Amino acid sequence: MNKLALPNRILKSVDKPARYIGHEVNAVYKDPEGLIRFAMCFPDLYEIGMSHLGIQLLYDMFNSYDDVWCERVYAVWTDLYDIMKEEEIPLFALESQDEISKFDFLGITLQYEMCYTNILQILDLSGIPFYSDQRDNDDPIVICGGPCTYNPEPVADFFDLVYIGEGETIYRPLLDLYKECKNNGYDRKEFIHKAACLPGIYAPSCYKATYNDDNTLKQFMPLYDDIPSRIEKEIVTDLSGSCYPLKPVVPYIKATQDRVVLEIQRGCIRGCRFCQAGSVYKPIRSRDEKKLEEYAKQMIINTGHEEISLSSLSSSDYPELYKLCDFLINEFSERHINISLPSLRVDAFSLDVMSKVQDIKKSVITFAPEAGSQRMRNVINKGLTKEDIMEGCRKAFIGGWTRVKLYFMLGLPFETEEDMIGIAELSNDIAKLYYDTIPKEERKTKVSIVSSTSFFVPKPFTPFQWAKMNTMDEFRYKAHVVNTAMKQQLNHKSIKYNWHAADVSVLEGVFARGDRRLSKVLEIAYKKGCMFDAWTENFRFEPWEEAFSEADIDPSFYYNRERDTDELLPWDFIDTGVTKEFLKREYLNAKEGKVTPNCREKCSGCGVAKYHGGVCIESKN
Amino acid sequence: MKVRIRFSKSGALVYIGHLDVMRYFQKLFRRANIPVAYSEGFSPHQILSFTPPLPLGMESTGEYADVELTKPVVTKEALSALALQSVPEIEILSFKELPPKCESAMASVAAARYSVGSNTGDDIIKLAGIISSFKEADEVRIVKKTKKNEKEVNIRPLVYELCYVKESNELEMLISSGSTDNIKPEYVIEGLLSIADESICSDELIFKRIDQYARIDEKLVSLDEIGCDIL
Repeated sequence: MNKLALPNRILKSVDKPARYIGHEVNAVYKDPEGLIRFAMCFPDLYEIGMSHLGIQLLYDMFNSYDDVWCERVYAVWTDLYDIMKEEEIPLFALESQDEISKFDFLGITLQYEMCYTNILQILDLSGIPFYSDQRDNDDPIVICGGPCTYNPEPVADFFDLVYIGEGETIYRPLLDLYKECKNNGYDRKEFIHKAACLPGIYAPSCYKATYNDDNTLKQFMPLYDDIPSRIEKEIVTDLSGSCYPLKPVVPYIKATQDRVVLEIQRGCIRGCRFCQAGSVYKPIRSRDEKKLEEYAKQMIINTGHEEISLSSLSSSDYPELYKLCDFLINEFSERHINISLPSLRVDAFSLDVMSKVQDIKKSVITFAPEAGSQRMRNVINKGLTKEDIMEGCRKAFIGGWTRVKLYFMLGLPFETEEDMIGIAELSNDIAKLYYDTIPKEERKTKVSIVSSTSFFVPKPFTPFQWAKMNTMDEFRYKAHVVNTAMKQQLNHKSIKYNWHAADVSVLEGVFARGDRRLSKVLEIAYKKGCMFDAWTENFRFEPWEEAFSEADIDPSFYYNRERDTDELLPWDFIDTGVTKEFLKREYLNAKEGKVTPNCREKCSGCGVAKYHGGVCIESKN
Repeated sequence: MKVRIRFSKSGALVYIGHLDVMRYFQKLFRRANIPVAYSEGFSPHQILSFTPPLPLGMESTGEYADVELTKPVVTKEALSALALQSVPEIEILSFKELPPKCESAMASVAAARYSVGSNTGDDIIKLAGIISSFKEADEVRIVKKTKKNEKEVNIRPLVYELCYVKESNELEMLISSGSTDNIKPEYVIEGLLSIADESICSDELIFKRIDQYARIDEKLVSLDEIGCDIL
């Protein structure tokens, strides 16, 4: 059990060797004899991947099966990558330290577009051919899942199978099918074809895409009669009844999320028009509060973590939040276990809870207005008014908070210069509010407002999926407009303004709405050394520019082009439940600045009611 | 009450750094339900301290942590609770109450015992042959390199014991350690080689820390022998 794939000499020379050794508390070890070997991969650094709840959930579920051993594998950092390439050391799984190429399955989660080159690092180091059609019977079945699979086309050629939707439902039947095929003279192609008949499973090699002269998609067709032309996402209708990882693996080195994570609900009622997660995870489904209490207790005992955090897209929309917070505070505060409550709306309740669980002097009040003007917030259907923000801040200032963080986006559709300047004005108004609210003699410190803008990237299955994304120059100009406006504000000394890099956003934009022809670009970029592109210190734009030009692909076709709403989109073969008609309607509403109520206020007929789950059946129970 | 824990570190876990070992113990105490005392203030932390960091990659059977408890736990029960919750590569070897006003493990370390082995074996025999001349020498000077500078030191008076163990084909040494006159076992190997003007591939040597000692009344006493079991 103490076998290590890397020799002492290498482990002593690389940064944080603990990334590569396994043996953590709650890691699962099995006798591999006769088991299906599944390598579960997060294609980024160990510290990032270990913080991901989805992987912990699937790891736990797979290992609860007697006939499966699921192990973990992550991308290796560049120092070890160079050594492994140089010495031809194959990539290995953390638990058994066995080579990935010996596994039955390699499952890769796709959480963000900028990890796509890391997929190729994993395949390359494992000695698995990049393209599905180059693999033979001895190679593992390479499958992916996660949010980016709502448009898997840019990476489709690298995968044998793509799992569309929530992972809890179809893996068991898929594994059973694999066993059956293994027992009957296994043929890789045959298995892939049969898997494509399962709900939620997309086998890219079983579909053919053809293109028009103007490069738009002409046709997307299944190659066999027995597989569906549209693939419906998988969804857990009864979230409370599904599994939960009560014994998550506890890393030795500090992971990004070094805490117990309680997923309180999945999905969102809000309908923000820029948000892909809010759309594809519909309808919102809550976990039973009593069960969550029990999970929290057990997970703290099983891990020894000193912090517990709630996870959801918008915690304030959890119906029993008050009860759950009350329980957590009573149960854990005395035991020196910190409680962290992200994605909470700032109001009297949340301020009260925060004052109980955090040091006010150190904690920061966070708002995500996303846009600077009310007009723009209506365009994106962000149900947060200036009054909400000001009232939340006023209460927070009276409560003793002095630090406010604001998140905005630049480059949203239908944006005007006024909307940009609105970002600076709102920041200034909040600073002014502090000085108006707190009398001079009671001020212990200056107020600190940190405003950040990211650049808007249109995503599939949102009402903005047809929108034109800004160019790098436009982005830089807009950041300059905001920055200049910031400096002109009366309270500019209390405000700090940050903006993101434009080049990474543009790449993200290309791959978010790309098609199959982009896999070539990824391959060329990887061969030029692109890896860990989500890491600022590692990101270089020039090789990407070369890669596009060598592949003879114009990136602006993908990001800087408004699509006709009748155009066949590369991801149209996926059915998320939300209808195209609804998205078109929402695009129009955005143009007109018309607000759509949230799912609890009024059903807007998006289409997901067909799943008969969550909020769609709440009032009917 | 203050308790001293002796533990070993082996296998894959030799690649876990000092800070991560500290974090590991904080979580281990929670899992094993050991009533550890916390500091005051807004971000309370466990009152816990360790002996000096073990170099990354080195095994040890003599690591120590001192921890403050809010109430006593019987040694036998604490050991079984900790064993149940710990990974096999970190084994808790003892759990003893410290006498009042006892100096912390960190501050009291004065010496450490190491073994040195090698996969090839020949190197150790070569080194063993130099031991007697090393012991006879009045001075053995080596260059101590730190990040900032280089300094020549005489390590001879800092090596208290040095012998060859035939059964295991290893060298064993007891050398000065801690905040004053700290030397690494590698320095002794360097010293031996300099005397005989020999060379070996030092990458192939395997160092292991066996135990750590405090100086009490001019005698070196294992840190493990200072406390008593809680009955």
